[in-house]
Amino acid sequence: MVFLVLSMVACNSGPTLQSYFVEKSEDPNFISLTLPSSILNIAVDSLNADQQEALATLKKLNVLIYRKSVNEPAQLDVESDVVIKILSNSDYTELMKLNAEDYKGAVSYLGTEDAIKEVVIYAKGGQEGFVLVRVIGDGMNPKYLKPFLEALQTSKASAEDFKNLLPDLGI
Amino acid sequence: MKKIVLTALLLATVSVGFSQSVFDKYENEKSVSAMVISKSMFSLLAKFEVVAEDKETKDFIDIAKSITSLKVFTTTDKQVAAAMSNDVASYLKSSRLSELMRFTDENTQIKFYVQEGKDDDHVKELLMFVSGISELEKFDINGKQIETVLLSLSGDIDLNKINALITKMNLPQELNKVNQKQQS
Repeated sequence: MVFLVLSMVACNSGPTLQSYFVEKSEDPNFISLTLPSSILNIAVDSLNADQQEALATLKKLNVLIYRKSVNEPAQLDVESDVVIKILSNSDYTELMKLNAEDYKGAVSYLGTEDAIKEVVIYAKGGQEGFVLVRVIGDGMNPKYLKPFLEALQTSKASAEDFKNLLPDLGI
Repeated sequence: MKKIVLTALLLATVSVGFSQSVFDKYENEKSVSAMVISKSMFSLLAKFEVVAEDKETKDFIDIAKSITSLKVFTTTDKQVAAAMSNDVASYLKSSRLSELMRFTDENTQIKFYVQEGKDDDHVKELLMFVSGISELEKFDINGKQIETVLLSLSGDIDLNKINALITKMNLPQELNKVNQKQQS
């Protein structure tokens, strides 16, 4: 009984995904950006009701990119392990994971199946680095996937929109 | 009350841990490619299809709702392949799986094991083990030849609907053979 209590305390004192994102946004080895859903540049009026509803459930994207540092190559695996540990220790429900040689991928979500708050995608590309994407929404529901993809196809987002973000990243 | 709760918790960990514990290590093994799909993923996949018009989609939704886990492990390493074979043998000893059928072509073998479910069409667990692949066909990942594939499917699986699962999720076609047995 005491052991159970101790292990619960230990779990709660670790970093959460949110705190990890915040912490690493200050870390020069990481590229961190937040993309509002408006970046998709979709003319909402041209969508049907289902598509509009679907699109409205997406709020923003948090993206964290870590590229292997020439000075500290071993840090990649260290950071990668931290992320995996956070994802497995947390309230996120794992959907799938892939592991092939040094390439890893994991997808999980927060919320309930019919009202998803966040979808987290983690992808590690060999020894190059990794990407952590957090899709944040409100009431995202699997029935919206198809209408959402349809809405996405009307996106007028271009390279120009992304280029305007670059000064914020210090690039 | 505390004792009951504690006992229940212990039983829960033992029963969950026992079912796939011998293969869990392959999820993080260097020379093994692993794909693990959880019950939640299948549940969501079934919900993506808002309108099911064709039989394949309908079958897929039905079977997806009944799956509790899918794991596929592939290795190009002959030593790991041998270890996998041993692990399958010891898993079979401790579980209620029995051999459904096997196909052999010289050194290549496909074996299916099932734990029967509620009726002749359903199984609770399906294990497919394909070994000696490199002797027969050259499938490679990154230039290395695939040696062994281990697939484990759990849930309340209707064997008649396996084809829909294979097609929608790009699983090995060999899995279709389980259906042939049921029809004979």
